[in-house]
Amino acid sequence: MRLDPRLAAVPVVALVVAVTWVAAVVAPTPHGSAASLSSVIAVREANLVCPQAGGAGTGPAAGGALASGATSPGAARIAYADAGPTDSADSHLTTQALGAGASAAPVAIQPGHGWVVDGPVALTPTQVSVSGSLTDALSAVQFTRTMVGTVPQASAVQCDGPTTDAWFAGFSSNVGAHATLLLSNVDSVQASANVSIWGGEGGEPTVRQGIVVAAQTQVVVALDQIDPGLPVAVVHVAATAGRVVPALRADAENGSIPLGVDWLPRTTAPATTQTVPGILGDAGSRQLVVGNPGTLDATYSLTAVTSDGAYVPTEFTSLTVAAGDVSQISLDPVLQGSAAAIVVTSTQPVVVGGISTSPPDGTGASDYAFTGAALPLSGPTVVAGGEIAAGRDTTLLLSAPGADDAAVRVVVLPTQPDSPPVVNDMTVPGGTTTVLDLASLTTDPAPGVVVIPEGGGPLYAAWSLTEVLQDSTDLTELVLQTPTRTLLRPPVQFDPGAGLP
Amino acid sequence: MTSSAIRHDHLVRPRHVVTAVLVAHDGARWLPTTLHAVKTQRRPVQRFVAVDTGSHDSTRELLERAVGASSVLDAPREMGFGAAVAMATAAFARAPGLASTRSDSGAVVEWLWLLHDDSAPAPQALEAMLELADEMPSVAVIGAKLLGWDNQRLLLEVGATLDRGGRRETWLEPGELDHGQHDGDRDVLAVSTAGMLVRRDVWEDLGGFDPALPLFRDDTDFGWRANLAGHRVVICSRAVFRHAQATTSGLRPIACGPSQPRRLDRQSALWTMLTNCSAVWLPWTILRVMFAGVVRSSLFVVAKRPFDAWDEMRATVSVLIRPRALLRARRARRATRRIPSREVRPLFAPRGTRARRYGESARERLADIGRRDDDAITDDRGLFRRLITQPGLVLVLGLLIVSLVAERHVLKGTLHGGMLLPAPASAGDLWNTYTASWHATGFGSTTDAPPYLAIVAIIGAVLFGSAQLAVKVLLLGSVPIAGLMAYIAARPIVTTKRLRVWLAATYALLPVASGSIASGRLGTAVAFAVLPLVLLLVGQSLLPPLYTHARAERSTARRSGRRVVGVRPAWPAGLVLALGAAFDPMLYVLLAPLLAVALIASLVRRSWVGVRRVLIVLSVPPALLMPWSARLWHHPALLVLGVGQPSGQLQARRLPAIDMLLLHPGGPSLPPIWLDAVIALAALAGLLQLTRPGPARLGWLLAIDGLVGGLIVAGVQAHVPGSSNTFAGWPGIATAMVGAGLLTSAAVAGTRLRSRLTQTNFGWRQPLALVLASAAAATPLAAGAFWIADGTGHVLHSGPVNILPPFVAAESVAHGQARTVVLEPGPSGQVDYTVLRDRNQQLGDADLLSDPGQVAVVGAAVADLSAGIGQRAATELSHAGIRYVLVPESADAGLGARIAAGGGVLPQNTTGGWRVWEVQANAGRLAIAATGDDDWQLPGDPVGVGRHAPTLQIPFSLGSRVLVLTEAPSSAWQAKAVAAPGPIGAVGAVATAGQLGEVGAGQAASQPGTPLPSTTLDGMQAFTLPTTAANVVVFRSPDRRADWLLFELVVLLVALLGAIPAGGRAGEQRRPGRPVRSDVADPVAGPPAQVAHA
Repeated sequence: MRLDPRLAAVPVVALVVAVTWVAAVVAPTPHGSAASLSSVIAVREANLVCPQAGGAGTGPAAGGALASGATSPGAARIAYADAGPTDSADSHLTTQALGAGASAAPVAIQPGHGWVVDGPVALTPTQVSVSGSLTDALSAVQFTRTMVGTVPQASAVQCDGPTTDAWFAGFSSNVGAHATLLLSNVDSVQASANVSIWGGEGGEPTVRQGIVVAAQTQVVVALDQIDPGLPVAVVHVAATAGRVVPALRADAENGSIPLGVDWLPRTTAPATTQTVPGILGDAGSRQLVVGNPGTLDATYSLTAVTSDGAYVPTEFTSLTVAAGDVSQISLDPVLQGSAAAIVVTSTQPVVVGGISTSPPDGTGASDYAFTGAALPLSGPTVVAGGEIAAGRDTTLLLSAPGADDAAVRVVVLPTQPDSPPVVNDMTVPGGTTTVLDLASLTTDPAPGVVVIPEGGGPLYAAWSLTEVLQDSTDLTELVLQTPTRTLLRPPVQFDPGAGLP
Repeated sequence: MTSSAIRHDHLVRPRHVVTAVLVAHDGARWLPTTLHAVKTQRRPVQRFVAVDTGSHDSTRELLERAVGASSVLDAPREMGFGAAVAMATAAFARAPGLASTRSDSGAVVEWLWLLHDDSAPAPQALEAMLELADEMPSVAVIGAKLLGWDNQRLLLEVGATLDRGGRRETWLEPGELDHGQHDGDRDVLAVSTAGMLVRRDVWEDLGGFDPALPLFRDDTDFGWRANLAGHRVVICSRAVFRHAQATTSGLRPIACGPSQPRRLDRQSALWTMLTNCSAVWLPWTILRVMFAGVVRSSLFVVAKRPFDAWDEMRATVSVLIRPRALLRARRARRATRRIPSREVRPLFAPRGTRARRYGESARERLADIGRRDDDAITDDRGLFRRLITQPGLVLVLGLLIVSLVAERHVLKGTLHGGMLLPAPASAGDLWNTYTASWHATGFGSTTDAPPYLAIVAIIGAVLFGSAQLAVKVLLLGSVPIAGLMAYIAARPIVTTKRLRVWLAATYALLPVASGSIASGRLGTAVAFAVLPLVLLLVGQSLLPPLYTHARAERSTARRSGRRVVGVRPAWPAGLVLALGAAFDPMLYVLLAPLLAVALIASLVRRSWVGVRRVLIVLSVPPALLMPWSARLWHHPALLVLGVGQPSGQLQARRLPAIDMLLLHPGGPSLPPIWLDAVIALAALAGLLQLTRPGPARLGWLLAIDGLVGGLIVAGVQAHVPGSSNTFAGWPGIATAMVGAGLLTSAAVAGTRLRSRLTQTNFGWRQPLALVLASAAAATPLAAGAFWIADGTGHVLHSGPVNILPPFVAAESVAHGQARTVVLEPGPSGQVDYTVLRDRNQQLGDADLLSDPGQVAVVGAAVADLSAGIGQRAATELSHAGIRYVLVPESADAGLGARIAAGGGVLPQNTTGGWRVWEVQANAGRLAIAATGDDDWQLPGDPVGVGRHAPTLQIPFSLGSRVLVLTEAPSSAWQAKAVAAPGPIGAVGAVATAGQLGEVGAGQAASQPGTPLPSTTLDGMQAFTLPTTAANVVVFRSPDRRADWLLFELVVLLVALLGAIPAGGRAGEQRRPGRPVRSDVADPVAGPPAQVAHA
C-alpha cells in the first residue's frame, strides 16, 4: 500500500518539536556579568612617609618624654603599632631617610604590640616601607615635641602613603602664623603638583602650579608666603604627574609666645555632607572651618553630635559660605566644653575642618590641634603611640552620628612584650559621641589602639593626646581613617578592537 | 563516359580538356550521388578516373560501374588523398593526342578536377569553372563553393587562407547560411581539394601535393605554392558543391593517417608555415611556433585535454627536430617560387582574426546563457527596456537601493565595529598580511593568516586596490549579492519568475542579513551571500548520483551520445564551499552531516561517481584552506566564533530554539521576531504537496540540519584561543540555512498554489491559502521597511579609526620599538585592552592568535594598573615592552584616577580624547635584564630586529645578564654576536676565551656569527649575553609559510582544472549516423579546422 506523501510532514514536525524541546532543556545557564568576576586583592606593599622624623633635638627633655622614652625636645620619634597576628613571617618593615642612595634599615616587628623607635639622626623625611601581611595591620605615627621658646608643644601626624589629591582645612597665614606644606615623593619618578589656596577675597583660589618634586625628595612649600594674611584657609594639593605625600604643618606664635603647633590631617574632598569627628571637649576654643571651593554659594547647616545627643543648634540651621570663601565658626557657645562631632550638610560641595585650642596659660601661650572630615570607619583601624602617664591623657572620641547605635571593639596593643592586648567592647549610642580614656583600659605608657567597628550605625573616631605641663596644655590629634586594605582588581579582557570609536 | 573521350568539339569550352580524378574510400554512402553529379555535368569532363583506397564497402563496384574497371586504380587503404591523386595522374599521364590539338578558341589547356567521394558538384559547376578560366587566363587553380550535404544552405567553404599561426581560416561563421554574401570570383590563398580544378602543367610544375602532408593542409600548401609561383588561385562561387565532410565530421574513420589527427593537423600546419614562409621571417616564425606550442599546450592542460597538449608539443617538436627535411622542402619550393612573399601576404588572414573569433564565440555563449535565463532577451524590444524588465536585474537593483538606504549612516569612511576591525587602506597591505609568516600585531603572531584575507585582498585589488572598499562591498553589499545568488540558485526548483523573485528577496532580507551587517560580521555576511550558490552546486553535484545508479548513468550517457560527466560538478561545489567556509567555517560544518548522508547513500547505491563527488566536495575546502583548516581542527572554538573579533555583546545570552525556527538568530538590529513566522507556515504547506515532494523534503532536511547546528553553536561557550575570553557563538549562518530550507519548501508550495486552488472546490483552504500567500508576499517588503527604519544600529561605525597619537606611533617605530596598551572601561566593570605597535589594529589581526603566556603577562599588568597597583604594573608593562598606556579621557574620574593613584605611570598629555600615560620604567622591544634587577636597560638607539637591522651595542658587564626580546618564545628567534671592536669587547673576548665561541675577537663586527643561547624570561624570548661587550643582531629565521602558500596554489589549480568544463577530445570520433552540429567550436582552436581531405 502506497502511503500518502503528506504523512512526511508528521515526522518532520515531530523532529522539529523534539529538537526545540531538547534545546530548551539542555541550554546552559548564561555566565554572570563581567563585574562579578572582579577579584578583591589585599594590599601587600606600602611606602609611608613620616614628613619630619628624627633629629637630635634642641635640648634636654622637658617634662618627660613624648610617646615614651627619653627624647630631646624637637626630635621626632616614630610609634608603630602592629595589630596583626604573631606569625607575620612574610612581613618586612624598613625605614630610610627619603633620598636617593639612602640605605634602608630594618625595623624589628612586634606583632600585636606597639613600640616606639627613634627616627634618623638628622631631621628628615623618613620613608617607612612595609610589605606582606603587616601592610594591613601597621600604623606609624610621627610624634614631635617642638620647643617654642621655653614651651614644648606636642604634635603628631600619621605617616601616610602617596596620593594624587589631598585637601587640608584650617590653617592660617596671618601674621605670626606659618603654614608649611611638605610634599614628599617616594616614587622613583619625578612628580609635579599644583597647590590651590582658598580663603582670600574675591573667591578665586591662589594657585601655584607645577611644583616639581623629584624622585625620592621632599619639597617644602611655605603656603603663608604664597598667600599671606588669610585668617583661615583651605588648600588643595593635586598631583598632575606622579604622586606625592603631602603633609601640612601649621604653627603660630605671638612674638615668643607660642600659640600652637600641629599637623593638619587630610580632610575629605569637597562634598555636600561632611562629618568631622574629634572636636575635643574641656576648656578652650573650638572652631569649625568650612571652605567652599566651588563657584556657587553654599548654604549649610551644622549638627552637633555630643555625648548628650545630636542636635542642630538654632543659630546654625542656615549658614552661608560664599563661593571660593572659607568661613570659621566658633562652636563654643553650642558645645560648651563637650566633645563632639559635627555633621555639615550643605547645598554645595564644601571642605570642612576643625580646630581645638587649649586655653592660654599665664604667659598667654596655648596649643592647638586640628581635625578634619573623614569617612566612617570601614574596618579595623590602627593608631600608634599615645601616652598614659601623670598629666598625659590619651583618649578616643567615638561618634555615631546616625540614628543607629554603633558597636565597637577597642583593642589596646601594649608595648610590653609579655603583656596581652586588652579588648574592650562597647556601644556608641546613635547620635552621640563617646569619649574613651585609654587610661581606663591600660596603664601601658605608650599603647597602640585598634578601633574595630562591629556593626550598627556609621562610626567616626579621632584620637587625641593631651599633655598638661604646669599650667599649659599641649594638644595633638589624629583623625582615624581606615586605610585602603584591599583593591578591586577588575576583570580584564584582551579585545583587539578596544579603543576603536 | 570513359577515359577515351578526349575532346568533343560540341562541348562547351572545347579548348579545355578536363580529367576528373575521384579518390574514394569507404564512400558507398555518398558515392552514387557524387558519381551521378559528375556524370550529369552540363559541361562533361573528357576523362574520368578514380582511385579506390582499399574500401571495405561497395565503393569499388560503384566506381567500376560508373567509370569502367580500367579507369579505376587500386591503392592501399592507408594512402592519402595527395598520393592517390599523384598515382592517378601518373597512371593517366596525358590525354591522347592532346599535344597536337588546338581548338578554335585557343590553345588547349588540360585540367585536373579533383573530387572527393562525398562531394557532389552541381550540374553547372565545371562549366562555371571553365568559364572563369576563359575569363582569367592566368588562373591556374580554381575552387568551388562548398555547401552542406544535407543542408544545402549551410556554407562550408568559399576559399581558404591561413592565419599567422598556420590555422586554416575560411572567413565563415560557424553555421553560416548561404545568402550569396560570399559570392563573387576572387583571388584566394587556397581552395579546398574537393572540387579543385587545377591546370595540369601547374600541377606537374609544382609537383602536386606535398607528400609530407598526407591528410591536412595539403590544399593550403599547394595554394600557397601556386601563388608564390605566380599563378592565380581563384574561388568560383558559381561552381557549387555539396560536401558531406565525412572524415572531418567523424562520419567515417580516418584510415590513411595516424591515430592522432590533431597532432597531424598541427604538424601539417607548422610544416606548411615553416616551409613556405620567406627566409627573412623564418627565425621569427620558428620562435613564434615554439611559443605558440607552449601556450596552446598550456591551454589544453587547462581544458583538461592532456593528450591534446601532448600532441601539440609533439607536433611542434617533431617539426623542429627535422631541420634537414625542412631545408629540403624549402629548397624544393624555392625552385618554383617566382614572386616575393610580400605579394602573397594580402591573401593571408589579417592579424587579430583569431582573437576576433574567440570574442565572437564567447559572445555567442553568453548570449546562449542569456537566452536560457530569460526570454526577455529574445524579444525585439530595446536594450534598456529588456534590461529593466529582467526580473533578476530588477530584484538586485531593488535590494541594492534598500541596502543603501538602510546603510546610509555607514557608507562613508572606514567600516569598523562589532566583529569587524578596520581594513587597511591598501589591498596590498592585506595581501602582505596574508602571505607573511610573522605578523607585527600588538603581541606579534606566528599564526598563518586566515584565507579570507586573501580573498578580500584580491577583491580589493580589483576595486582600485582598496581593501576598505572591498570590505564595504562584501559587507554592505551582501544583501543584493545574496538576492542574486538566491535568484540563480532557485532556478532548478522554482520555474515561476515572480516566485523566484519573492524567494530571493525574502532570503536576502532575512534577519541574518541585517544582523550580520549591524554587528560587523563580515564572515557571516559573505557566507550568507554565497550560501544559495553553495547549496545549488552541492545539490547539482550530489543529487543526480543519488537518484541514478552509476552504471545507469553511464549507459544513459552513452545512449544520448554525451560523455559521462564524472566528478567535474563536484569541483566547483567544493570551490564555492571553500569560499564560503573561508569566511564562515561553520558553513562547512553544517553541510558536513548532509554530505556524510550523501556519502552513505552513494555507497549503498554503489554509485562510485557519487562517492568520489562527495569526497571531493568534502576534501577541497580543508585542503584549499590549509593550514588554517588545521588550526580550526586544533581549536574548534574558532568554528563557533567565526572570523573577526568575537564579543559577548553581539548575541543573545540565551537563544530560544523557537527563535531560530522563526529565522531570528538574536543580537542587535533585528526585525520583530514574528516577521518571518509566515515562512515556517508556508514551508509546512510545502511539505503537504502530493506531487514532487522531493524539494520540499530536502528543504526541511536543510532546515533541521541548520536548526540543530545553530542551537549547538548558540549553546556552546567557546574559549577564544590565546586569551581567557569565552563567548557563545552566533548562529547566523545556521539560521540562514534554516531560512534557505524553509524558503525552498515554501516556494514549492507556492508553485502548486494556483493549480491546486483552481482545481478544488471552494472551501476553507482557499481563504487560508490566500491569507498565507499574501502574508508571505508581504514579508520581504516588511523586512525591507524594518531594515530601513532601524538602519545599521549602533555597533557598526564608519569613520576615522586612528587611536595612536602621532608621537606615540613615531616612538613605537624608533626609540626601542616599544608598544602601547589601550585600555577601555567596559560597561559591566571589566577593562578591555589591546596592544598596539606603530599602527592600529586592522582586519585580520583578531584572527591571528597571540601567545597565551604573553597575553597573561600583559593582562596581569593591566589588571594591576587598573586596580591601582601602579609600581608593579609599571614593571610588568615594561617587561612586556610596553611604554605607553592610553586611557579614554572620559575615564579620568574612574579608571584614570585609579591609575594615577597607583603610580608607576606618568601622564604625558591628552590628545584626541585619550590620556597618554608613560610607563616609568625602561620599556622596549629589546632590553638587557641583569640578574636581580627589575629595571631592565635598553640597549640604546637605534635598535631593531632583523638581519639588516643595526647591530645592538651591548656593553660589557660584570654580572650575568640576558637580552630580552619582548616576543613570544620561539625557536625561530635567533641572536648572533661578535666581539665589539672596542678594547673591552675584543680584548675581553680574548681574556674570557670561549665566550664568543669560534668567532672570538678576530671576526669583523659586521659579520655576526656566534649564536647566543636561547632562553626565556617572564614568558618572553631571551638570549644569554656574554659578559664581554658585543655587537648583537636579533632576527627571525624563515619558516614554512611559503611552502603552505605553494601548497594552496597547487590545490587551487587542481580544483580549478577540475572545475573547468572539459573540451571535446580530438580522439573522440562522432559515430556514423548521428546528426552533426556544424557549429560546434573547438574551445581552444576556435572554429573547426576544415580538413582538406574530407
